[in-house]
Amino acid sequence: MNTTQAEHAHHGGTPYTQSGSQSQRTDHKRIGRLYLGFSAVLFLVSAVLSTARVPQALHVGLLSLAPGVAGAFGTFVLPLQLGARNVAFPGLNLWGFRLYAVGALLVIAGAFAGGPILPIGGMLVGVSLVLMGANFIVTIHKLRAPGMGWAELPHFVWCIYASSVAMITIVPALLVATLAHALSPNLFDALAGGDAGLGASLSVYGNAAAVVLLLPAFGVVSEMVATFSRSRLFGAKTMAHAAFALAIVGFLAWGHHAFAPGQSLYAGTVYGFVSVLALAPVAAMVVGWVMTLHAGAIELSTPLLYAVGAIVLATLGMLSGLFLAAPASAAYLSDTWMVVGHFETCIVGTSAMALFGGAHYWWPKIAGASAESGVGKASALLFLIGGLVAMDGAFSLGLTGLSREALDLADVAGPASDMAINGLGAMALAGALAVINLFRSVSGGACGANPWGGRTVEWTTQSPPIAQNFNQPPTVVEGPYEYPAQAGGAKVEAH
Amino acid sequence: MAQHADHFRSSAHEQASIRMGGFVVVAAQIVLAGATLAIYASSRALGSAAWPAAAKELDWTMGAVGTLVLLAASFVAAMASWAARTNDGGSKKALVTMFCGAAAGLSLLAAILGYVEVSGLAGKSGRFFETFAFFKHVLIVEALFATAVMGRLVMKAGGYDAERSGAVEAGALFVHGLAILGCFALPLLYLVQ
Repeated sequence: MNTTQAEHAHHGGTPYTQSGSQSQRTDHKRIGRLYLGFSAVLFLVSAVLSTARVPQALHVGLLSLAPGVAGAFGTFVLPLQLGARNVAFPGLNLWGFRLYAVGALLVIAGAFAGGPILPIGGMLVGVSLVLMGANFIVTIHKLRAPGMGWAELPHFVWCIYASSVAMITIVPALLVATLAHALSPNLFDALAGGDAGLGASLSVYGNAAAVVLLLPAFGVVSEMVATFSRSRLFGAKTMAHAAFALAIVGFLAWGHHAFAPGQSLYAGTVYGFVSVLALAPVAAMVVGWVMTLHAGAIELSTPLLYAVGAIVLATLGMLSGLFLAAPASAAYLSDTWMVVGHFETCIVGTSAMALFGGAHYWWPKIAGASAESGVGKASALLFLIGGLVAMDGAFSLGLTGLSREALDLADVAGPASDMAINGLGAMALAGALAVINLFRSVSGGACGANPWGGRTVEWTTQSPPIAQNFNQPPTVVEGPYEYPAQAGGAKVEAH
Repeated sequence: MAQHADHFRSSAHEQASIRMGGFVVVAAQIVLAGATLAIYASSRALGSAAWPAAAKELDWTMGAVGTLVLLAASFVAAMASWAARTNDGGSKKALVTMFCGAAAGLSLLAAILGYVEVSGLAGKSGRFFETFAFFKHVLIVEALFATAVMGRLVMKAGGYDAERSGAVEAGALFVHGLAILGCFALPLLYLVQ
């Protein structure tokens, strides 16, 4: 086959050329593996630093999860789920990872050494997020397989799309705020003649940034729940809408950051209402996951255990958010460790369980092996227990009024402090177990193309996928979760 | 038929994707510029009587030269896009290389001039100078990024033709955006009275 014929392979279903000129260095699968490895290492380092009561652990943990889930699975899985051969801009993808890696290391160095290194690193990570968001948006719009309309998109793709829109609309403003704060800190300091309200105004973007972290994790959970329930995702359309609703309402709820400093009665009422409203999309997704499990034939695998753990932590984190959304209670709690607990539960716990759960789920595609084992299940359970213990300790510390600034807990003794620290230690141990389990599985031999019986497009190609991803261009003929008992037939046809 | 990256179906498909990517990046730039101007507006609203007086201490010559350099960079970037789309044969590569190289050099010069100007204000404190330094640094970072983008286009200058010029167009669009930021945002400070 010559090059010209290969150009039309997608249209006519002619097999792809095997002598493609696609560079190995910019292959999305390689870059996805780099994201996954780098963010997993950062997460483990963060957890170990937390147990050693090093306050900089928060920076490391955030950097592991900020682009981690979206970077690893968005880069690796998204093109496969769309039936594409790569992301739209492979070179940009590689540069995005390089900026993220260098930026993350600079932030960590800056957190310990101080000075301008930290904001410079933060800006590099921010630029990498903008590049990633732009790349994902164009990939989803332009590189879908024939037959894959918007209704046929898996929920993971919807969540990545909503997260990417948030990336390109939120992160540039955060970059400007970071630069302004680094160059002219007095601009935000009322005591130095600046405007504290300016910083508060820019926190509209900081609040919405949490959406960038959470949405990809929710998408990973949806994929695992649907596959191991052998069931269509309950309310799939509503859940897709919920992803965008979360991105939008996340913007509007920023005013709850001003509950503690004080704001007018009317502003407090409005932002309290909107902050509660921001929990509704999460509630819709939790209902969708639970109903999917209820209606399905559950296979209790390692990825599903991670997914259930993420659902538990997301639900508890959402409920703790109610206390921080109500102005009356938030006035007392929003500057305490209650916020740390809310953050740990919602962002760290849910995202980390999605990161390690997703690694187990897509490990056949990532490494060509199945990591299903008792050790994997034990790591998932330990992760959840650690998360619950850490959350309980953090909430208890918050109720005592401990300031959220006391991140190292150096001077805080007692059972609540021990729970907060030891819970993180358990999560670190669980993460290490998960990593060992994943790598140990590689020596166990190759697995089939579709060991879980998944119905999305990535499971139609071999494990791990070939360089061009698919031997023949896939054509999508059904929705993403049509299991045989419900709809019959295969979802994807290869010509 | 023109060549295209093997993950696209055709050259037209690739061009449409690049064009869309260009507009998505421009959207991100608009948010960035909007946040920059929000900081200016907030800072100015709190301005003191010293604000207009401080503005007179800026180096107008340096500012004017820097703005002209940015405009020139924008112009040659547009010429690079024109050369990539309309020329063929050996002249196309030479023209794209020349125009993209000129845009890269001028963007770098704008960054250097900006750095020299903001360094000259070291030791001067106050809200006006802090705002000015912030604006200048945003521009310096953007100009350095434009230099890298245009430099990258030079390295691939031989691969463009009428159907495959989206990357040059997107790059030119970015330099235009940079020039607009320089031409409209900074004069807010130079001309403040």
